[in-house]
Amino acid sequence: VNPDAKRAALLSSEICAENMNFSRTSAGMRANWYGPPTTAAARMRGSNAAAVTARVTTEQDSKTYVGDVADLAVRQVLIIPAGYFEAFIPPAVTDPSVKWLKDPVADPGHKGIAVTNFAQFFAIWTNATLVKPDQAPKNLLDVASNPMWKGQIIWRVPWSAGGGNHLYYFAVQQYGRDWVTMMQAQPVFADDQDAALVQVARGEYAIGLGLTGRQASQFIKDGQPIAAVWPNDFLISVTESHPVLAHAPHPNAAKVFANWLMTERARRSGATWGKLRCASTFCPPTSG
Amino acid sequence: MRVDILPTDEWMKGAANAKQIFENFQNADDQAANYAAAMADFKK
Repeated sequence: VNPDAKRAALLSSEICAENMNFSRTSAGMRANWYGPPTTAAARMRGSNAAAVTARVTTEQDSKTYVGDVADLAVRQVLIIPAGYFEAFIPPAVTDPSVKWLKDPVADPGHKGIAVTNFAQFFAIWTNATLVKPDQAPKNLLDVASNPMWKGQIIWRVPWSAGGGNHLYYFAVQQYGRDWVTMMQAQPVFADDQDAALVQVARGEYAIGLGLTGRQASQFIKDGQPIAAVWPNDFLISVTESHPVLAHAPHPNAAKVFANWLMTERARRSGATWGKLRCASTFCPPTSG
Repeated sequence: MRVDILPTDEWMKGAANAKQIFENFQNADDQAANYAAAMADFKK
């Protein structure tokens, strides 16, 4: 590690619990987190992938490099110009003792442009007080077709990056335009997926769609009436990566951080705030 | 994707029973078209 570069700047839309654990365990190195410059709350509680993508694009296009590492979905990395990233396969990825959920090196050229460090799966979130187990929708067709949910659904906006759009994309593929017609009568839309989950927990809405549920573990521990229903038709996954950015001001620190994110400690850290991490041997069911 | 690897928290475990798992890997043009379609369908 370059002793002059003990800080890696992370561009992220999410709570960065990793940062705190990283600084505790990495010889004094720190990862400074730069959330989207929307509101003070957004800096602590996430905004969206579009904002991080815009930040990365702006920095790279203007040659004003602040970020060292970005927090982006693999899919998002793959459609951003590859020149915005520095290929890097973290040494931790080659650990033969780890069983990976899927190959962590996710870019087609297998160069380390996109390295998967966790996966998320989108449940149908319900308020357990408002939705009794025998009423709970079993899938996205139930959600759309049952008139009792009219006005009771909050759906992350489907017309921009994120879980709301993934749901729209795959539901239309599965059920066609009839699904769209049915859904047009049902939901209210939300930009902020974290706020939307809070609204489900409060009982303002019975059902939340397109929400990763990254605060759900804590809500459930706190006794909030919130429950995940896993749809029996299909499940949507998003894999996440932390690519090293091209021209990173602190390239060595960036690589140390990107490698650390693939280690056991990082995955345990992530598991405590709602992520499904990618390695079996690091994440037994009782951990976190 | 391996489905025998269980997640950490209790509420997540149902994800391992999925019959189909989809991940959205549209290219940039298709993604933009999909956003536009969603906007036409739902944004009032």
